[in-house]
Amino acid sequence: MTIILKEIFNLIRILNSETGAGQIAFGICLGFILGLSPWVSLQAIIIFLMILIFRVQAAAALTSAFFFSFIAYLFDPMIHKLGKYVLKHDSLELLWSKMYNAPLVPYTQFNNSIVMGGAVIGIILAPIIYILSYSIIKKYQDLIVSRFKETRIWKFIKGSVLYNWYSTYEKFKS
Amino acid sequence: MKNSNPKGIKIFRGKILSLLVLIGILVAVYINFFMDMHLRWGIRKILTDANCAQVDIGTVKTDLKNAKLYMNNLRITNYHIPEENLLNFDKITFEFLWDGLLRKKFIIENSNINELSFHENRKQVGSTFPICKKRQLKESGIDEKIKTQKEKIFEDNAIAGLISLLQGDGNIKEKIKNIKLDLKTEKRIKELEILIKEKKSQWSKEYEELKSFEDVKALYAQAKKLKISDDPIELASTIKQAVSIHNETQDKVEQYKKRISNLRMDVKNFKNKTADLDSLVKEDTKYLKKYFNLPDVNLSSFSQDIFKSYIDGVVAPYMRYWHAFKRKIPQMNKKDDSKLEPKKRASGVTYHYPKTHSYPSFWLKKLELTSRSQLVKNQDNTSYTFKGYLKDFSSDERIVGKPMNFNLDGGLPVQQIQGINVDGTVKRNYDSGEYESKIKGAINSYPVKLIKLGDSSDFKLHLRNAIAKTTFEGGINGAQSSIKLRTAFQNVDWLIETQKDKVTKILKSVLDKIPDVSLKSFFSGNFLSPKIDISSDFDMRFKDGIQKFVGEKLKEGELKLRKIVDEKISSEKKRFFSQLGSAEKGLLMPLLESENNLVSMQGAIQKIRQDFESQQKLKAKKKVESELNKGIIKLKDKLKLGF
Repeated sequence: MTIILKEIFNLIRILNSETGAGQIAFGICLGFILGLSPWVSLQAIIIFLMILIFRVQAAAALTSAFFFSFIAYLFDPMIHKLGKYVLKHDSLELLWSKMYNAPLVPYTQFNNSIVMGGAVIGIILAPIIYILSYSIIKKYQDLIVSRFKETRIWKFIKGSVLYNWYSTYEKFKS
Repeated sequence: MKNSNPKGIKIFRGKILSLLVLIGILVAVYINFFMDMHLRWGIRKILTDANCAQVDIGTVKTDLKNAKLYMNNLRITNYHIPEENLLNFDKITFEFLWDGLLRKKFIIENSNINELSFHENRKQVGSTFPICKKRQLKESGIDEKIKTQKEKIFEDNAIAGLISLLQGDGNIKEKIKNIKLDLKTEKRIKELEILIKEKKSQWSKEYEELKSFEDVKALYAQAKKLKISDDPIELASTIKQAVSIHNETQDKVEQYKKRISNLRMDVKNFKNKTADLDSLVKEDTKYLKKYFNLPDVNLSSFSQDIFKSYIDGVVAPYMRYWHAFKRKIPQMNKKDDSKLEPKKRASGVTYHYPKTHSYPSFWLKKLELTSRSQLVKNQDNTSYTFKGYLKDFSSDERIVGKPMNFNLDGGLPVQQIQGINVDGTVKRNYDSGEYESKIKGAINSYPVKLIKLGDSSDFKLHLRNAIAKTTFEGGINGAQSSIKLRTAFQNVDWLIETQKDKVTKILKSVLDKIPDVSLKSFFSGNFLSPKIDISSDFDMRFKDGIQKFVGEKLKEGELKLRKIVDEKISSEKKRFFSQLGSAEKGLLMPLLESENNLVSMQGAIQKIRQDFESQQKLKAKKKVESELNKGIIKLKDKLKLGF
């Protein structure tokens, strides 16, 4: 029981740690790619593992994945057309054929037009998303976070029992 | 929260390892303790939805190392008889190929179904789901057709009419007294009577106008008044008048003649309307035949009538399963997917890139089926009374290189079914996208219990028991079927019950002479609603047996009905024709007379004109002669000739 509780606290810690702008931006970037991928696929598992293993902001990653999955839904027809174009391109057929018959690769569902379209858009836009997120977060941290820490709401949360437990655990850990 | 990203921080989370180990342990625990349970629940749900009745599975076990799946005690409830199981499988094994699974290809190397049995009683009544069944029936549409056909067969059955004929179903005359017959002939005569009244007044009016022809008479009187004058000028003018009178008379007479001819034609046309009365009498007789169930018995279509529902019931359920099975077969790269657009999130279009020497998406290499009756025990315990196999059921035959084929062999001693042998192949035509299947087989002996060939409150004709033998051959190509079925029933035990003992005795004596029946059926056309042609030796033999009883009755019945119709309409008919006759007589004879008078008047006027003209010619001739003579005399005088 203690072990499980410990791991739950670890998870909460992971979700709230890595608050650097770069880490949050990278988390958003991974979330963006995750949002465009099917939730049950090999690439989704890999991205989850990356979120857990690398020092990226996990909460930001999961939130942005949720958000971008809705955005992707709106652009489905366009994504489908892009995916279809890529999958039916003659010069790439040999590659797709090799991938289709290779081990594990088919579990990425790359041969689905929506998945392929989403992957292409994800790869192309990921650096742009990273750069944009980084600059916005930097500005946010400098302007808003510092002001938020002076608000009553933050003081109320800081004074709550749950926060006390968490900070006690943090002290104990460190 | 403080910014926990100082310089020199590591890229990886060190403490994640314990979390990953915990997740790994949880996954292992799930696989070991819960996965089989959830898999069993999932398979049970899928099969229950497909069957619309309860499906029970004893245990499901997975062996991940060897990629095997075991299922024990699969029981599928019969939707129509929830007290029994349609199918029982004691043990099912699937052996997958890891190499294929890694490539997301489901290759089943070996599979076995052991101890398949049918129609065994359940310990508890199984649940059924009518809403699910309604939805299935709506999709397939087949069962409703069978149901409708089955109900219909008892209403329109030729034998029902025959039996009713033999029973001499009541005193027809008595029946007629109490019911209002809707005879077309009667209706028609009434219509004609109304029509003739109108016509009569029309004709009379017309005749009144025609018979007097006052204007012609006036012209005749005018012509008679004309006198021949010696004065040529007067004569010429008189002749002119005569000519004009004559011309006018001709015009008027032509008009009258036309009207008379139209009137005659009208009468003739009206008479022609009565020509359809004979055909209406025939129709009414036919109607009454149907009403009193007097059959238009064409005994050569007996088999088609009485065996159709049975044959439909035998074959149609398998066609329905084939239809359902066909829909479930994985469809590869549909021909025209350019128009497909994703309708919901993450559906899209999935493309496949098969190549030779690779695996298809799904391939069941071999499925073996065995069933061992509990009554048959061999020393080695390895022989089976019923076995079969299914080979090369795949999603892409081009990779596999072989079509699907199946075989069933053996017998089911408990059900007393022997000599089952079925062979078949199913292959896909990748140009048309259709499936082509061929099947050939036989069941040498099986019991048949209770085929209802006729069942109503008036009579029952059942084939109670028989031993049957069936052979079949044919195929389904896309949606078109072509299947021949031959069934021979032996040692037939008939059940016949009617309302009259005498009739029952007659039919029983006829049927006792038919202890075996052979049936030939041919299915063609769309397999969802095929055309079924049935022929049998039952027709001729039944006909021969029943001929002498039925023939006379039929004739007698028909004459009776014809007499009834004639009696019913005789008075109206008589009245109508006498009206018609009197109308004709009262019209045509006077019309002829008037016409003759008209013609004679025309002739008289013509004669007057001709007389005047000839008088004029004569006078003119005389004048010319006298002038000529005068001239000659003058000339003589001038020339002082002696003669």
